[in-house]
Amino acid sequence: MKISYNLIKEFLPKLSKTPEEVAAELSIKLAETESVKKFGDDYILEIENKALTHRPDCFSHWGIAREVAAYYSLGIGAAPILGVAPILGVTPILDIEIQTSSCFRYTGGILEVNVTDSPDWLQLFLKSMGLRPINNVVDITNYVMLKFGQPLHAFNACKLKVPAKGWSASGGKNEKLKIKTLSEPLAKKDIESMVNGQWSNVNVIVRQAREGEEIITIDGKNRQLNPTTMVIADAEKPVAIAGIMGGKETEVNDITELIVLESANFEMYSIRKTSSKLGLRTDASTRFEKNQDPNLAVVGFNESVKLLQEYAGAKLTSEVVDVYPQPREEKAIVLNPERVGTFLGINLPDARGKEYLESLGLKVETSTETTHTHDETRTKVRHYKQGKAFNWEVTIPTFRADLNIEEDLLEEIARLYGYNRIIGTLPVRDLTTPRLNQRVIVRRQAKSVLTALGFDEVYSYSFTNEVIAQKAELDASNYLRLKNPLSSEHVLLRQSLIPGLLEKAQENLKRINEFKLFECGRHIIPKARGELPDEPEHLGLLIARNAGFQERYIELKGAVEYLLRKLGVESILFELTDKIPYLTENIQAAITAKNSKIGQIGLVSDKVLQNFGIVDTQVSVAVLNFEEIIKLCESRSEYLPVSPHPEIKQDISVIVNKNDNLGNLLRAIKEEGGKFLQEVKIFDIFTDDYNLGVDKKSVSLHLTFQSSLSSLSHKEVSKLVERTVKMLETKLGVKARR
Amino acid sequence: MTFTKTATQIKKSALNELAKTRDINTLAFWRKEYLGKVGKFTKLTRQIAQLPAKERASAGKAVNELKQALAKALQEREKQFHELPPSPVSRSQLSTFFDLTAPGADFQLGHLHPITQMRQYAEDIFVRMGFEVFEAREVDDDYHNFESLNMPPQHPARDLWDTFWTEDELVLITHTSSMQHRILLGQKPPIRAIIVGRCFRHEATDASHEHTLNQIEGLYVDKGIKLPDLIGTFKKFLDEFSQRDIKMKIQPSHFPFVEPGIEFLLDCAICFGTGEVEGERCSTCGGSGWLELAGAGMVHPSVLAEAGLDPQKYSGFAWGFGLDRLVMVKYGIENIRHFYSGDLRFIRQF
Repeated sequence: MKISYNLIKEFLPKLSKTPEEVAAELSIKLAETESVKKFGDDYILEIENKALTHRPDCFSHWGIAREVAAYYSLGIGAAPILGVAPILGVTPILDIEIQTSSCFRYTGGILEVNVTDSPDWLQLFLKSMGLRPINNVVDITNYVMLKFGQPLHAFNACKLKVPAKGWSASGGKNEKLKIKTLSEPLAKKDIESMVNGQWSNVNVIVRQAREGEEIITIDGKNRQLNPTTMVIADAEKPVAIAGIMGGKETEVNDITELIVLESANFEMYSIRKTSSKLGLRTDASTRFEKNQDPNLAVVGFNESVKLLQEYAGAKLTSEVVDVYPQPREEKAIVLNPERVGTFLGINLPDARGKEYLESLGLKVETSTETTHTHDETRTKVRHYKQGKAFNWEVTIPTFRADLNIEEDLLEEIARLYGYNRIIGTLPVRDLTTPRLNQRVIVRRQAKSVLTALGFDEVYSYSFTNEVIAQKAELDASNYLRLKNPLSSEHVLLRQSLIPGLLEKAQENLKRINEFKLFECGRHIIPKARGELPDEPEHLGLLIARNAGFQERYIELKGAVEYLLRKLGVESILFELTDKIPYLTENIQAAITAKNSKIGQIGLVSDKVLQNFGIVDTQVSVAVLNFEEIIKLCESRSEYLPVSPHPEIKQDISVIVNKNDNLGNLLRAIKEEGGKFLQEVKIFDIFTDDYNLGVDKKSVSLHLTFQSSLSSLSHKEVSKLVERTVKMLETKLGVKARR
Repeated sequence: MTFTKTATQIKKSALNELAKTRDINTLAFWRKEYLGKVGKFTKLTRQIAQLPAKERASAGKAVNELKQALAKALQEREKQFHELPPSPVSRSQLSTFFDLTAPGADFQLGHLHPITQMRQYAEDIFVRMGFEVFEAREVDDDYHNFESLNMPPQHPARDLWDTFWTEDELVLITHTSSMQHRILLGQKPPIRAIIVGRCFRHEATDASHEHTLNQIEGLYVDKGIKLPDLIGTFKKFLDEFSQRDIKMKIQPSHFPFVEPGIEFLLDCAICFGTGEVEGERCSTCGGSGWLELAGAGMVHPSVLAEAGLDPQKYSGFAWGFGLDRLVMVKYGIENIRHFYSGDLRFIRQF
């Protein structure tokens, strides 16, 4: 927001600080003032307005001047013309009717004007504020808004439809509307015909739009309206979107000679809703949606009339109509001054605290009652101890609607005192240790194992789209969809880490041939409409490597096994599946542990690789459901004492079918090997179509036996091996090579 | 010269030079000189074949004698050297070149994303200070992201956060404050929590703006918590984090879920708060010497009351800051888009 130093000085003639000094003080006490730029003989301060969403008063020079006055104890008077609108014109030819609860006040009048260019100083001022000068009438309304914060609007009165006598805005729907327009300039006969009742007065109606109504706004856009939109209408149709933007048809231009000047106040939520719905932010809506003070309407009206008289030869033709059904009144907040110490940690004499509040235009009275406090006992004790300090009753002017509770007042004291003068302390607490978050701990462990295994961590967005999902042969039809995506790339919320990993792989393959990636992220799984989705966390692993499919699969499987073992997940099974669309048929497995599905692993299919533009490199991927892992790794594996007795190794070779799973064989050996069997390791696999048969392979294994109680003899072990082999022959139908 | 004479000469010079060898290395040179493939002795033996038949017998004998003599002398000399302690000189004169500067074995460890590393680092400090770690949802409802934080629908302060909405009117969280209500609800203070989460802002991505960001929120509620506690606690964290006594500045700010609302600024670590780097405007802090770091404030009584805590009895503070920005400042990362690029040239630097 731009603020003119010269205009501030006009409010505060005694201000002796430089623009830079004022900017620095505003930064410390109100909101960051980003820059001070010279403009002609003026200086423009740029104030960051995101910290002022609760301060509509500060969207004006008057409000900023009030702040500056408080910082330097300069004092600032009331607005030039406050109170009731002066009755300058007398002819009752304007009717204003408020038909909606979202309009708090409407002050208006009809003026004859002489539309020309604005005087140079005004044009220059508007330019310094980043506004384009249009004509004296429009420029004056903008000037008054920037000066006092009251948005105004001028309609070309001659474009307003005046109905025949007897017509009323609220009733007579079926009655065919007989209308006329006023002549320019307003002819005596027009006024006479209104005054003598031949025609109705000029009607300004504030109402909600009707279904199907539309308006072309002054930016030339046709806007569809509906009953949530508040409009200003004449007898026939909307002529402005209330509090946001006027209509093209009634725009004031250089041939306009008669205007209706509007200075109104609208309910903040209604304005914001309409403005965000239409995507239309204006200087007016910015002020109204922050709860602008309705008592400002008359200030704005009177100031505008004054300037129009001076610079546009204006003459009030009608009486000034001010519809204000429920005037906003000042309210009071009770403040316990002791909290300046106990809550703000500031050691401040009461008198100084009062000064701070009063410098902002608040009135402070020491209350003689304690009934306002929620904790009467506390108040009484304090009173007794210190022998002073009744609560303060602070009266809040209507332009500070942001002040509602005690803490709001404490903030005013703190910022005027200066936050940077407050010395930090540390809260006093007991020695209790914080609870540790198991999920965070396990995740860290997983990530550190993966990096030790050579996996680099990547982050992908939570967003995805149908095209990418399709590339990975995933069905995105039930993905959660954004209402307002930034781009067509980011319209859905992901339910798989695979597409992201493949994209990252493709990108890196331009430079590196072989690598390992992982990502830890959430799948967003929608539930019933409007219900919060599930967000299960997953680990995605990817290896890009030029090697045979066997090696590639084994490498990733080894990583997965190592990771799970390290996390304390036991009894892991890999079972062939055909359910995973993006993996190669027959080289994909479901991973389970203790009957829980914890993930899947396999080689990415050629087609999917091609879809992602990956050529000449093979890629294996695994996805692990981190939620299941957390559940399973809660039980830590137990310790077994190191046996003092030697281990004995014996080798066996068995001939199995080529398409038999080694997993089954290993499991069978472990089951049948007896309690002394410690380890089974495959050390050789070969095929020999001539000697073994075309459909057979030979598997050689080391079997390690050990007892913790005694030394086993070779004879005993041979017996165990013999028994195991026999069992394998009967149960699995394998043949032992001897 | 007769063959035998040549043999005698070789023997003489060989023994002579052998005596001059200083260690195993120089011995190796001697061995090459005489017994190597193109050594003097080897050459001599080859000449036998060219001799007239009658001379061959005597020549063979001479060669044999010479061979035995050299072998014996060599053996003795070797023995002498082995009895000597190895000298440092001998290592540096290794006959086979050994390059100690050649790269070590490549273990190819992976790398954690810099944001993960920064998060762990910050998290550990907070845990040491007594905070419990919570994590935020990515998709939440309007109530938790806005309404429970004293922002009814259409509240103007909602404009502070450009928000992504799902089609069924859920929110992609704009801040980790979305978890405040859940953490406060039904808890008996003291409550000391940090909330880590992935947040979203509906703004186009460029070198310094990202629609996805990572935040750490702090929340402390107890009896008698006051504004200086917020300032002191956050400063303590920053000192610990930066391993130096940082300079901090406070600016007033406004968030509906705190009152008072403030903003912490940190002295720019790139230009040391001067606003200039080598005479140019510091691009990290934009020349101000300060970096906006965190929004903070005293928890608004309405937020406490909404979660069933009596604001007359309890007070607290909260803050939120972005990890991404901290990482960028720490390493001087020029483009925020690196974070989600997955580019290994970037990741592997951390």
